[in-house]
Amino acid sequence: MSSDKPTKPAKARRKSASASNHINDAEAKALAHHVEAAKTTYGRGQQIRTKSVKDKKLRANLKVLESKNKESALQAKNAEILLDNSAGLLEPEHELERTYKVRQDEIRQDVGIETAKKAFELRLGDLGPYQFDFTRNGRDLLLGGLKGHVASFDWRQGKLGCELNLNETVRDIAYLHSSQMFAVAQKKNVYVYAGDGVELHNLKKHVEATHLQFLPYHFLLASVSSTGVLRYTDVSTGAMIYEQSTKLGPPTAFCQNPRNAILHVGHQKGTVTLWSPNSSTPLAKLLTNSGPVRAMSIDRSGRYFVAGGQDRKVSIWDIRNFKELRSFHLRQPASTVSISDRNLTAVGWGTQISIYNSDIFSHTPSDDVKIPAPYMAWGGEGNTISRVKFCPFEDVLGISHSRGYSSILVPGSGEPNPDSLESGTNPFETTRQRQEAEVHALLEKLQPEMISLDPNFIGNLDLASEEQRRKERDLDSKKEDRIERLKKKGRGRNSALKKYLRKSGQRNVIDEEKVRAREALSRMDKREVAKVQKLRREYGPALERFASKSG
Amino acid sequence: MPPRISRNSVPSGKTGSKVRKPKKAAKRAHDAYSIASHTNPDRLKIRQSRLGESDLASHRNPKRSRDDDDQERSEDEPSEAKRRKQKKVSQDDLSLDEGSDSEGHAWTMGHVDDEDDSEIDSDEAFGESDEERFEGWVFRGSTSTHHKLNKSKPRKLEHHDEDMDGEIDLDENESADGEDDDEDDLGEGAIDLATALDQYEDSEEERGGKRGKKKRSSAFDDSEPSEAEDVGADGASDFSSEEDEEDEADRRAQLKDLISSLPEDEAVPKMRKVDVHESAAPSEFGVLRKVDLTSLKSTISDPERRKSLKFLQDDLKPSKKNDIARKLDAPLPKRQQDKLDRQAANEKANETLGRWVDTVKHNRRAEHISFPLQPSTNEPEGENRLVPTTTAAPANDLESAIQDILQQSGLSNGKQDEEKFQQWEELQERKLPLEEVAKRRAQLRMERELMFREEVRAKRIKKIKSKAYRRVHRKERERILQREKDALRADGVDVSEDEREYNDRRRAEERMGAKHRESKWAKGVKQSGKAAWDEDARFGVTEMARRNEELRRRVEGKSIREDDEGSDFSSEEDEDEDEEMDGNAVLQQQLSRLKQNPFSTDNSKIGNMAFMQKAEASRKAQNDDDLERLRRELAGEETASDDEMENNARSGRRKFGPSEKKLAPAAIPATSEFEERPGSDEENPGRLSGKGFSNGPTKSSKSKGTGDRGPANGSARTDNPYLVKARKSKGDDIPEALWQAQDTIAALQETPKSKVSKSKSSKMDDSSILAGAALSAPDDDGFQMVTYNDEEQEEDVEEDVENEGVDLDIVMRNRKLTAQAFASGGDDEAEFEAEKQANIEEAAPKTETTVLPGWGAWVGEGLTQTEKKNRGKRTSQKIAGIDPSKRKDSKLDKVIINEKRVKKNAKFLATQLPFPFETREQYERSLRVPTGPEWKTKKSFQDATKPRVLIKQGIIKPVERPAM
Repeated sequence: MSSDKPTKPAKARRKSASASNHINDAEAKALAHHVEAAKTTYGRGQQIRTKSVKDKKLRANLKVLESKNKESALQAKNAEILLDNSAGLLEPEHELERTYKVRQDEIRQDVGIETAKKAFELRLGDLGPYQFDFTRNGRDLLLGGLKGHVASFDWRQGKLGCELNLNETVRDIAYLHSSQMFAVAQKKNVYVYAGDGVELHNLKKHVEATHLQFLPYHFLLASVSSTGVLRYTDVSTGAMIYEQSTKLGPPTAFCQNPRNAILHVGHQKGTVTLWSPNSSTPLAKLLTNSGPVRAMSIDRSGRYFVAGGQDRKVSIWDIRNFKELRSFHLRQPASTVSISDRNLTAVGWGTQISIYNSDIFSHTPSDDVKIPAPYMAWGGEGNTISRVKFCPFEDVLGISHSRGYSSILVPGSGEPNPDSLESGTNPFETTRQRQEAEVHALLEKLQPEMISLDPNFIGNLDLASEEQRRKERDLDSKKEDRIERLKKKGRGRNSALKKYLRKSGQRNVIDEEKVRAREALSRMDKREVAKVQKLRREYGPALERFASKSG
Repeated sequence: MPPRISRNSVPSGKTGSKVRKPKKAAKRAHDAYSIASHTNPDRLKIRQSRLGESDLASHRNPKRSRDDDDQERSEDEPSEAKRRKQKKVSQDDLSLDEGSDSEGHAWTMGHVDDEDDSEIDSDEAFGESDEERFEGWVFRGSTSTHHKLNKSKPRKLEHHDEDMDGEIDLDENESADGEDDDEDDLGEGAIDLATALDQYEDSEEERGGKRGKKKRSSAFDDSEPSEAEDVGADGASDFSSEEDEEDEADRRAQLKDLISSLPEDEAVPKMRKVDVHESAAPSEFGVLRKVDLTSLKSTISDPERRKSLKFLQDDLKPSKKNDIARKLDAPLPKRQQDKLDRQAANEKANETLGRWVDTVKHNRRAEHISFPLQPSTNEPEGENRLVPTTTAAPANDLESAIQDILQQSGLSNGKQDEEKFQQWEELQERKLPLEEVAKRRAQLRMERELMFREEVRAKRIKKIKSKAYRRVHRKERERILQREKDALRADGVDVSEDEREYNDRRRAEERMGAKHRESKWAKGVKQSGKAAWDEDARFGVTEMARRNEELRRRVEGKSIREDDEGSDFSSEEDEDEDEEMDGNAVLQQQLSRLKQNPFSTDNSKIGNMAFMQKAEASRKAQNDDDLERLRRELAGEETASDDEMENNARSGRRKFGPSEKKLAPAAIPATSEFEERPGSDEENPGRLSGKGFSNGPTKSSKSKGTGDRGPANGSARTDNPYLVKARKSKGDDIPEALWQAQDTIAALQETPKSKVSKSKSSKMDDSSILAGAALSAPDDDGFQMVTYNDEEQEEDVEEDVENEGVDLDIVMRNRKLTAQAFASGGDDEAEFEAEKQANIEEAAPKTETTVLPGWGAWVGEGLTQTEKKNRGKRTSQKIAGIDPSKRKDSKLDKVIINEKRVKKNAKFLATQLPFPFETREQYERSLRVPTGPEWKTKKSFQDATKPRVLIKQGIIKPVERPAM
């Protein structure tokens, strides 16, 4: 007993101490976890190792920078509480329930009236299999029937922007930066129409375009023609930026990577080429299918790339590392693929649509033969699916088919928290805001040269060797004429030429450039004198004193 | 002034004769000269030197002039005599004094002068009796009686305090009883030192020997009596409050001294007059008057008159002395003086500037700086934000309203309380005698000091990292604790630590609780006398009393076993008991207690409802069963629960049908489950439909399957049949996989039907879909559990759905057709491979060889074959490229990555590493976080773009004082 006693209180004390420690530990742990989460989500890669910096001042500066970055990451994490809309999916109540068995009418019954209204169907008759596009904020819908029926409208309010019948084949359509402009790939050329249906431009160089894509941050309209020529046009200036043949025959699919604005073109032989307007050859070439690639899509963050081909195979790639994650086979070849903002993948095959949740991206290739269970399914009513596309910021999937357009509800597909400050992505924007955003977007337009596989390359160190750079330098180019440039620089009384002569020093040294500069200056002076005299004559004796070279 | 006379008269006879003897002879020799000098305006020059003017003559013949003075003094002057007495102490010094002007001598002179000075100021205050009284007292660093005085009567000798302050200031081991005075002196000293320094800043002297100077300053004090007096007056005012502290005797003495010093007081103004002249530039008037005096004196033979003149003489003497002292330090040459001056000024300037260094550094390093640096404190504090009401009066209506409410509710403001308390204290203090207050204060101070020391000590101990130290101390603490406990035990109290803590807690809670003795409820009961007639109240009161008593006893550590039953911490108690009891017995007891269900819902209304009762009954039954089983186990009975146990782990799907083996161990199904899988459908799809019932698992023949299936092992964890996972073997090439996919689909259609009937087939296929199926041991009825992989389950259900009503033949045909159609997939792949190879080769580094035919080669006849072959000059050139193994796509299948440099992108690259960065990594990582508002919160964006210098509108005054 006596031997026990002394140990017991000590133990108890230790226990209580450890309890308080435990609380502290838990708090500290939670805090550390929070910081870690902030770092991973908003830290943007690895920190600078300030300890290894030798220069004192630089070290101090970098430390300050790092602490600022850390702070801003933390604040961004803390600001997450402002994202008050949470995303969710349909969840089975028990293990035997299947979400893909849920029918649209069941969903429509269970959601609110306003939401239920978003599921609708447009029966458009025989004007062909339709293509369609959403604006970036998901408010407007553009429909284009193969036989020339084009309509742009606010699909929630049912407000029609324009409805045209072009009497010409419409191969593809695309909204430009806002609902006020859209491009239509017609039989021969690509045309640009205003939101009210007025034809704005005829892009004659875009011949026989089969697919269109618009790069919103670069204001580039890209088309790929039936002969396999890829073209970029800057829609803000109208200049043709790039025109290059893919040399792989008629394209079968076309899509863009929203992260780095690289265009993917699918070809007949199961290959996909990646293009930027800066190189004449594709940046990369993938073999995704064995047969024509029919449908492609890339997720919002530029990670996952889904390609479906004529061989019924759907292959899923990690496009940042160019690694195939998995592939599976459908029962019919996929005709269209779309990935939503929350990484739901809709695949249209035949007359049916399967929607997979994001699990298909996380699976390991070991079970790639298995067919993933879809999250939702739709169709089978005899309408051949021509295009599927998720509506941004809505739990809505748009489907165009041979007989029109259907909109279905896909719970959990849309991004619940739109960034209203980013131009073009505010689903509730007013006219005024749209106009402002347009100006801002134009001011912040990215140059086409900034397109690269790594979008963060700007400002990085050029690692090319001097030799390589020398080779690249255009040695035959004409040297810039300094004097010509100075002559054009009108700087009032103290002209640039005068300044040049004054600052070039060593008056006794006479070289060709100086001589030219002097001559140019004297000529300029003469001209001015002549001008003044002419003015004097014009003004007459009474007013001649007001004649000056500036006047 | 009797003391003075008595004191001076005694030594004057002695010392005067002693010291003077040799000099007197000399003086006699020069008598004529001295007499002449008295009348001679020659003295004028000496005076001048004393006034600070450099006078060569005076320097040349100091002794002579001094002698003259001596002669004068020898006439009969008590003060002179006293001085001589001092000189007796250092006879040699005296001669030296006269001989040189060096600094060291000045110091000794200072001492002597000090005496002189005291003579003037307060000799009268220091009576003979005092001298006797303080005979034993020696003040550090000084032999003068003066200090004694100073110690004992600071109040009386204000001037002396002033003089001595420097010394007192430095004096640190003061006796305890002098503490108060000392502190006051300290305060004075600060002033005095400053004034002294100020005084000497313009006196152009070195700062090195501060101490010496201080002494001297006191020595020269009489030369600045005006100031000394001023300060003294200040001091007096300072001390006025403390004068009361002096005891009666002191006061009396003071009074006496005051009276005695009255004539001296007369002298002081006179002195001042003289001093005015001394400190002023020498003028004709000053000189004239002085000459007049001395000349008068020498000529006057009448002793009476002389006596009357004595006072005048007295005035002059100290000044003379000081003049001599000042004469001793020769003014430096102007250049040197200026240099010293500049040095001092520079030091001073540096010091003042140095105070700003930190502030400037801080401001320079600051990321953002906003002017004005020190915000004006004009606006009241509570303007923009709330301040605690304890510190400030309520600023607005809301605050005052809140305060009113608080006051009304008795939660009065802390601040007011504090104020009231302070006021009360002050009042109390006033009533107390001063000594008491002083004592209290001293005590308080002492306590504070001690506390501070303790704090410091605790901090120091806390800092110690030594484990050994900690260990030793911990052990000591434990020992003490143990001893305490032993003592308690010896007293018959045995309380465990946990128990004590618990008891304390309980008591605290009870005190917090409503039914405490002083609670509102209790008071109410007491007031209303409710307990007399209200049963509940009475019960509550008694209960309260009981609990209170009980808790108190608990805390005290007394046993309260008798009333355990009713209390709700019986379990706690029991736990303690448990330790002593036999383990089994305890468990038995617990079981028996569990039998009476403490959570039964008998009383509630819900509990009366039928279904609740039913549920409870069933639960009870279950619990009882468990209890029974446990009891049996405890009792060591053999569990006859083979049949009972089967009920427990029965979940998932059952497989019906007889099985051969009855008691298969759990491990066997894990190995044999591949036997159970359906046969390969590939060869014979039709066969499956007509299968009969299986009769249990057969022995496993395939070891590969068992190796593959790690996680699924039988019924051991079949709670969730979906937990079991299957894995497909790898290594199938792609076309095969394609076919397999179709097969699986085909198989899937079959499985639901065949699930019951399969099992006996011995054929196996890796691609079989039921690879994940696991069979449990068959039970006595021959039923088996089949568990499936979750996904597979989903899949086959899905396929069921999808394939409903679809003609299988068509599906199969479709599959075959597509397979045939894309059989050329191999061609695509081969083509792709070839293209990739070509790309790799094109980009690979090469050596190009060029030949210049005819160069460096012989032609003509008679050439050998080898010479003929060598047909020209060969030059080879290496063309750099990308090594195939280093290509980005070297390990990537089905990918060709273009390795060519994109020239247009190079426009946005940095051609070289920007200056301050040391590595590429640093530079690129410094750019990694975007600064735009789209990527950041508003705050961090604004922080990042905030200008470095912000200037508020309006006048920005310069910084007044350093902020750091």
